[in-house]
Amino acid sequence: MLATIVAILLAADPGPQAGLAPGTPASQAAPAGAEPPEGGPADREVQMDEVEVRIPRPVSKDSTADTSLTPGERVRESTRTSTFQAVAQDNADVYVPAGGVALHGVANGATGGIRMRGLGGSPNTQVLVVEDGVPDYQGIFGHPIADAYIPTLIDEVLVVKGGDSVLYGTNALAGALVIRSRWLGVDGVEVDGDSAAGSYSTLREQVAVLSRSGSWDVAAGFFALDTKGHRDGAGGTEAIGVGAVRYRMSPSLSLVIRNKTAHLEGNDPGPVTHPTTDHWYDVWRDTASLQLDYRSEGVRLTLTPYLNAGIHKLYDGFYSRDYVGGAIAEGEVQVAPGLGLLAGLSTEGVGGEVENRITGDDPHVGTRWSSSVYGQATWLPTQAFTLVAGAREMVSSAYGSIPLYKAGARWEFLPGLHLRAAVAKNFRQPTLRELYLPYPTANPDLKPERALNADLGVGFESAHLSLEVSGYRTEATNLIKYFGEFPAAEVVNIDRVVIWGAEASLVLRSLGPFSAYLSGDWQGVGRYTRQNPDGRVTFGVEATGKLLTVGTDGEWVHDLFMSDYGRDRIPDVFVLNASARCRWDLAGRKVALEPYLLVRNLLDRQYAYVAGYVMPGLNVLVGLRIEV
Amino acid sequence: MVVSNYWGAHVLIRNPSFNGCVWNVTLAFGESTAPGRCLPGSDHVHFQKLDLDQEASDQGVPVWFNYQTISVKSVGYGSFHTFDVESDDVEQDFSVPGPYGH
Repeated sequence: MLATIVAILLAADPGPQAGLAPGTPASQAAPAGAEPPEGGPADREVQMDEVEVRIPRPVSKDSTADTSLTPGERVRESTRTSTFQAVAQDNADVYVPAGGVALHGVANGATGGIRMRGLGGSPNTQVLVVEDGVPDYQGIFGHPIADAYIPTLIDEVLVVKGGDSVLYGTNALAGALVIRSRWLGVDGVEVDGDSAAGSYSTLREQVAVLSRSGSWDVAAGFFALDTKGHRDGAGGTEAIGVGAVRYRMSPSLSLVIRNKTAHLEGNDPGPVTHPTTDHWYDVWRDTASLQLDYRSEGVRLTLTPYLNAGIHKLYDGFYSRDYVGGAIAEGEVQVAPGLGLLAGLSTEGVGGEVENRITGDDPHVGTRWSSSVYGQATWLPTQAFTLVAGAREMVSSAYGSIPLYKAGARWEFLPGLHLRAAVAKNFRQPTLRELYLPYPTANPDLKPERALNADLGVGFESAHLSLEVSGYRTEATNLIKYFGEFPAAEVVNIDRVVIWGAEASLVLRSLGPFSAYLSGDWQGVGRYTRQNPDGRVTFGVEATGKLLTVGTDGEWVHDLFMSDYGRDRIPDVFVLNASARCRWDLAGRKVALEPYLLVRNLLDRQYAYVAGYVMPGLNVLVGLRIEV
Repeated sequence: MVVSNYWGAHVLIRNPSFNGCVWNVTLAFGESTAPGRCLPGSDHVHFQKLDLDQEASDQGVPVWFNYQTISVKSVGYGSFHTFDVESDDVEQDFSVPGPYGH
């Protein structure tokens, strides 16, 4: 019992050790200083002898879904070069190929696409990114911009595995990454600056300013990266600014205005055998949203209108303007003890314009609208048992009525031990590119993708140990695939795909100064093996002293193919990284200094996630973080 | 590393590349690229070739063909190599990526 209590306390307040608990089951974890997340009952405090037990609110709206949580601090301290990669390091069933020290690139050599349990990929359109309540993807291509999610202001990243189109709508076919930004929890000002320089003339700057005064909260962040890259054409720059203001009109009512602007300039370096130094791209994106939020005991209401727009320019004359705009109204109410209802309405439009500024072509890509009504019921017949059922009725301007559903159960049958099962019918509408953009080919007759995802898992949680084992099965129909190469390429629906797999993760924390994690995934993806590895293992070990924290982490990717049907296999990826951080809290000055060293590819191995796109050898990043 | 054109007096080569390094230059017989820094590893030397004799007889738009060395060269960290492109060590290169879709 005591162990359980301690585990709950650890989960509720990870504190400085938060970075050592990857893949924390999201139904159990709540980040330190986090704002109240998406619904769920309020924290309860109970006196048990001399121990105060805080029962954390669930951070996932669906506690029966297979989820994990990566704290923002862990993303910021990661040896990996992007937010998606940092999240994938914690979850072996989330595969994100890396692209070197710079941006992820475009076209055939692009990396950064997310695969989750065999679906997703490059470009990723089957894993939805939701940033502060806003579905975030490019309007024409339908995928998130992998380099646009900066760690500066991230409070946490919730990974929803197995898809959840009932709650998140289209594109959450394989899963969702739910990114939440942080606010300052108490009155005052906090400045967090981080400057780093490293191999290949890499410079990285980021600063976050958080303040809280009276009824006003401000969160602002800026991130900039410039590098020459590890080979000709691999360099790039990015500059991203985020700003958010929250006005708390009353203790239960608040309004948030948020805007993010990103400018990315990169290049597809081509395969090492034929480098391309002139395949540049230039991307501007802006996401603006409002969020009106009402919370009182047992009730939560939010209204979120949003607009995401961008301009993409490529070296070959391609020029596009796109938008994704919509609104989500969602309410959650505790109708009776143990029974919660969630209901929502959403509407969204996507569209854009494309032209080739060299040839003068301007293919019509049009616009598309969809609206949905959705709901979810959560019933706890006993303290240990949770049942969830949900449904969404989506009406698309192109595909008519689309019914979706899901159900799940979770049973905590012994202290620290739980069983979990879920099934969900998920959906993705074809992108405007797949339908209308003839680069390299399009097919206006494409049908939407559907998937029936099911998983079953068991987990154990204690003060020093977390263990999760899950088995999953995805049956997808009408998946959209590109075959062949320009000018003989085609994009078509394929009939049926079944993916089986198993994923396990083990976390050992606070064993003296040591913590460690190991995560593994094996899957049978059938004949569609292109960039869809059969196996993946991630691991890490960390030792924390009074001033110094040192660690090493790595990844092994097995059975990686460049083509379907198990063809064009490339060597397994094995990469090992290391980090060292030294932290001084200057007493009385409220200033902390943290110099750090990241060593990537410690063994100086030659490896590649994409054939011909060889990754950097041993390289380093040296930085200084200052918190005021 | 450096790439030199020793194919023949009637042959120009341009844009030679090797394992992540590319020189956007045209080399006449006997000319060399500036030193470039490539990744350690092995590769053919890839380039485009223009046969001046052939072009003179065709009198059309010059056509550059993709070629590579038959031999595979290897380089390591910190080493300096000069790779000569010679007529008995070249073949057509069909591994050049085609245009891509967005």
